[in-house]
Order: sequence, then C-alpha cells, then structure tokens
Amino acid sequence: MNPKMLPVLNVPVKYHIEPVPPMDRPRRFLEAFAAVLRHSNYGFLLDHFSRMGAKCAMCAAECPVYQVTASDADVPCSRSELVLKTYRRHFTAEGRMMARVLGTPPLSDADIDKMTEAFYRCTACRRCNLQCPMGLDHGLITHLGRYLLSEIGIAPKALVVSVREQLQGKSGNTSAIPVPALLNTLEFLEEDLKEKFGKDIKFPVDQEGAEYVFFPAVSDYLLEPDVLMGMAAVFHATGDSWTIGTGNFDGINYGLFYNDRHFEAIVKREVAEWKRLKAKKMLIGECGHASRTAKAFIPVFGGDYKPEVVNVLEYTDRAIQSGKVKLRKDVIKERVTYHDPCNYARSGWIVDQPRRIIRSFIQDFVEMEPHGKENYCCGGGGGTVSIDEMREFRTMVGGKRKAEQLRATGAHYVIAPCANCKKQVKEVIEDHKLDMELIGLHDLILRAIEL
Amino acid sequence: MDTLIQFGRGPLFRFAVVVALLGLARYVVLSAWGLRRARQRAGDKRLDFGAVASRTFTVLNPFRYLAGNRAFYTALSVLFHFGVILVPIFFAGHIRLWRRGIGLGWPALPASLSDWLTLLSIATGVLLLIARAWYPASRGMSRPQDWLLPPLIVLAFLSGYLVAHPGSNPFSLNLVTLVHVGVCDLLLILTPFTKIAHCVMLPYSQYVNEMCWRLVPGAGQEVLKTLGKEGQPV
Repeated sequence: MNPKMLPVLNVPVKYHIEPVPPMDRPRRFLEAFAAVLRHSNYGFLLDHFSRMGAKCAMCAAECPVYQVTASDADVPCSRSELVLKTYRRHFTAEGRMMARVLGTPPLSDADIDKMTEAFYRCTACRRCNLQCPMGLDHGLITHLGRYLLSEIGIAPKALVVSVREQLQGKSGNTSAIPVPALLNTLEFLEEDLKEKFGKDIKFPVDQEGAEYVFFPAVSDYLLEPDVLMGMAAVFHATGDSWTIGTGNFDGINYGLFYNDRHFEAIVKREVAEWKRLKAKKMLIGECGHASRTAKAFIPVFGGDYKPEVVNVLEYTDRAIQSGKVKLRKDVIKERVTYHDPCNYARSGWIVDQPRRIIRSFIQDFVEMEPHGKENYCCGGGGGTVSIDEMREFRTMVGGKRKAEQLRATGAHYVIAPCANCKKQVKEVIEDHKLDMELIGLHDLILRAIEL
Repeated sequence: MDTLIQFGRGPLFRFAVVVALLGLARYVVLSAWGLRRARQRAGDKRLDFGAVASRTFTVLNPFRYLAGNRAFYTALSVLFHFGVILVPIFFAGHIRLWRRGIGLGWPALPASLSDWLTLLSIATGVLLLIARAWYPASRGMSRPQDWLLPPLIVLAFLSGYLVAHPGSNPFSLNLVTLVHVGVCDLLLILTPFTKIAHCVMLPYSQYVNEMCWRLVPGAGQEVLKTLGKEGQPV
C-alpha cells in the first residue's frame, strides 16, 4: 500500500562535536579510509555496491525520513553514494583513470560537511533494505560513513562522552552509575517488590555460576524501575538463576553507531564479565541495540568465548508458553499497541515473542501498520535519540511517520521495549501531542503477574 | 552497408560476446574470491548458506516489491525484465543464428509470444524511463548510464521487431538490421561495465551483506596503529 507522502518538512541536522585540532580534513579522511580498507572487509563491500546500484530510488519510497523531507539528500542510495564515489575516485584504478579523463575533483571539505550531516540524518533502521532490488544494505554504508568520520574526530559529542565513560571512566557504564548507587537502587527495588507481592524477590548480584548474567540498558536502573521489577518477578516465577555483575552491568553499545574499535571493545567487556561470573548464558534486557550487538557481535568479537545470548522478551515468552509465568487478563483494559524496535525486528529475531506475551494477557491489542519486520523506525535510531540537540529533527521528521501510525491506532498505551525507542517515542508523543502513554512490556507484566 | 552488417554479425558480435562473458565471469570469480577472503578475516565465520540463500530468493522474487511503496514502478520493471531476458534467448530467429553459427539450438517461444514480449519490453522500457524522470528521488541521482541504457535497450527491441516484421518497417531493412546488430553488440560490450552486470552479481548481494557485517576482530586497533593514534583516549 502506498502511504500518503506527508507534507514536506525539512530540518537541518547539527550536533555538537568535540573540538579537534585544525587539520587537512580531506587528506586525513582519505588516510583513515585507506587504513580501514586495509584492515577490514569494507573494500569488498564497496566494490560490490559500486557495481550494483540501479539508482531506482526504491529505497527512498520506504525511508521514513525521505517520506517527510522529499529531499535528495535523504535518498538512501544518494547518501551511500557519498562514500562510494569517494571510494571509486580515490581507491580504484578505474575511478582514478576516469577522474583524470573527466577532471573529477578530489574529496573536499564540502564533501565531508555533507557526510557529517547526511550520515546522522539516517537512523540506520535499514528499512530501505526491504525494497532494494539489488539487495544493497545502505545501513551498512551509513555505519561505515560514521566510522570514517569518527576517525577524523567527527562524531556526536553525546555518543563520544557516553562511550568514554563506559570504556575509560571510573563507573564503566554510559550513565556513570557507580556500583554503590546500583546496589542502593536494587535494594530499593527489592523493597518495592516485597511491598507489592509480599515476597522476597531478589536482584542477585555477582553470583557465580548462574544460568544468566543480565545486561540491560544501564539507563533502566535510573529510569525504568518497573521494567526491572517486572523482569525480577518473571525470574522469581521461573526459578531460574540469574545475576547482575558489578564488573559490568551495561548492555549499551554506542560503538555500533559510530566506531568499530569502540564497538569491539564494549562487546569484549560484556564477554569478560560473563566469563568472570562463570555464567552459562547472557540475558539482554528489552533494549534493541543492546540485544543486537550482543547476539550478532559476540560471535564476531568474542574470540573463543561465545555465550548464548537471550533477549528477555524471548525468555519471558518461553516462560509464559511453558506455564511457569501466569498473567492476569483483567488488569490491562486499555487499548495497547506495540512498536517494533528495528534492531531486533528487522532481522525477524524478535517479532512474534512480544506479541504472544501481549496476547496472553491484553484483551485490546491493535497493530500499527506496517509492523514486524516492515516496521517504521521510531525516528531516534542509530544513536540519534541520545543527541538532544537533534530533537526537532528526530520527532518532527524522523518520527513523523511513527506519530501518524500511533495516532491511527487509537491506543492508550504504546509498548516500546527498547530503551532508546522509549525515549524517542515519549518525545514523539509530547511533540505531536498524542493522547497516549509510553510503557515497556515488563512494566505491564509487573502489573499483571501472579506470584 | 552489407559489409557493416556482416561485420556486426560476425567478428564484432563474437568480440562483444567474449567481452560480455569474460567480463561477467571476472565478476563471478572476483565476487567468490572476495567472499572467501572476507569470510577468512571475519570474526564469525559461520555462514548459514541455507538462510542466506532463502533471503536471496526472497530478494530475487520480483512480486514481493508489489507490496511496497512503488508498486507501479515495480510492475513495469518486472514486465520489462520478462521480455529483456526471454526474447534474446528464446526468439526463434536468434536460435536459428546460433544453430548456424555454433551448431547449438534450443526450443523457441511461439512467434506471437515473442512479438508480444518484444512490444512489452519496448513499452515498459519507455515507461521506466519516464518513471525515472518523473520521480524526484531517482531523477536527482541518475547517472549517464541510467538515462542511456533504457533507450538503447528499447532501440534494440524496436529494431529487432522491425527486422522480424518487414511489413511494419518504414525504413530500409538493411538500415534497421544494422541498427539492431550495432546496438545489441554495444549492449553486450557494455554489460560488464554497467549495472547490467547485476544479472550475475545480484545473487551475491545477501552473502556480501552477511559477511561484511561480520566485522574483522582487531581491525579497529590496526587502523589506529596505521594512523599513528595508538594510546589516544576515546
């Protein structure tokens, strides 16, 4: 079905970047590009994509950003061309020869400025991949483009600061939560659970040999107590052993969004904590990118250690299907809809599980159209939700299609499990003045679980 | 003109076929080699060939795109490809030429079906060009080959139709034959140098995506060393 093109609106994207020393940016960019090509597999990718592009713009029709801006700059294939043309011009014999014949200018500062904006207008939702007849993954080119920019110091400060604290800071997590604060929070949540259920429901800490070591988005400890309590209640019902590790309790990996080196380092820290605690499996919270980075990239970066990665929605779904978790059907009476986080829905990994959970206890559930693998991004994907100065673009451009979907459902609650989607959808609801409430799935489970 | 036609059907055609086949074979070999190398370097070497093949067939299924947001363009493209693939291979006149030249033949399409597919290719080729020009996103990023290939293909089919239907041909038969042979030879030569190469490279795309997302462990640190930035903080 062809969605109506929304009224055209364009908002420039600017984000704070930490100061870098003056440099010859094109030269440094090309040096970084050469180094990346030498040590990675991106060259092979770029060769293939260069030859395959049909320039049909089928990708544009699927892109939630293009559907609002109708700007050539937001056509995924056009954006990928920023990297591809640089690759061909500077790193292929054919391209260098054609440049001599046609007088094609080399990479310039203006090109880098274009990339600086273009690659952060993209939410890396990879919806464009669904319709590209050539099978090109423009999200992967966005990933590469951001990586190259980061190697010359161009990366959103919001992401850099978080990664710096996670990799080099005292706390070792993106929200700078020290261990004593974590322990206080967990104690408080245990008291809350005791008050609610009259039972001792624990958040085990540093238990060796547990079935699962738990990595939520660390911001859940600050912002989503009900989600955490919901998960603890599920574990209490199943009786499976789990633990939170004080060595590393942050599943967030912003390296995915801008730099492969940090991406790898953060994955390795997760594996190290799993190893330290001698756990059998890794349990990731509701967060989309935390789940994807663990599931898909521990096998890549984990070396000899490749723990099984389970998302908590899979876990809870299995627990309900097996009868270990029972949810009361009379608690949630309002209409509910569900937002599919791109990072685990696009691949089809987590699509059916949350729906089975929802249908097991919620009477009035309505789908957004499209949903599942074909979902629309919340508008804050690719780490852009963490960039506060991009809010207007995120909610009024990237999130506009999502706002239309939400409005069309008439739902009171929208379940957005992913931590990043939660923040973004909350802001979409506020900025578009939607009469609905954002909630996590385990928040609702907490209300309905029978213990 | 007879000499030119004979040249176009003889040595030039053989040259064009060799360029097309060798050029495409080069891509097949380079792609396979590149995949092998990418897999050797990748951190996760497991490759579920079945799952990726399934995704490949899903992407190759043209009808799935009819559910997307450019269904009309997709329909045009699917119909265009039917004619473009079937007529050059299964048109009886071409098979007769192959049989005469290399002694090989194969079953042909009925003449009326070949005619309809030819006219379909012409009509859809023109409409695809108009659609490209009409849609701002494709118009903005089209390259010279994106504008030139459709009219060349349309011309190949139109001239071929006129050669096969002298009664409908307002021009001299020799002229139309020369145009047909010349344009087809040109298209064959262009095949490995333009996006027409997708005919052999398309099945690789899902494998390329799959392997290239399996990043190379340690690559980031090696990049850092190469750039002389070791020890620099985040």
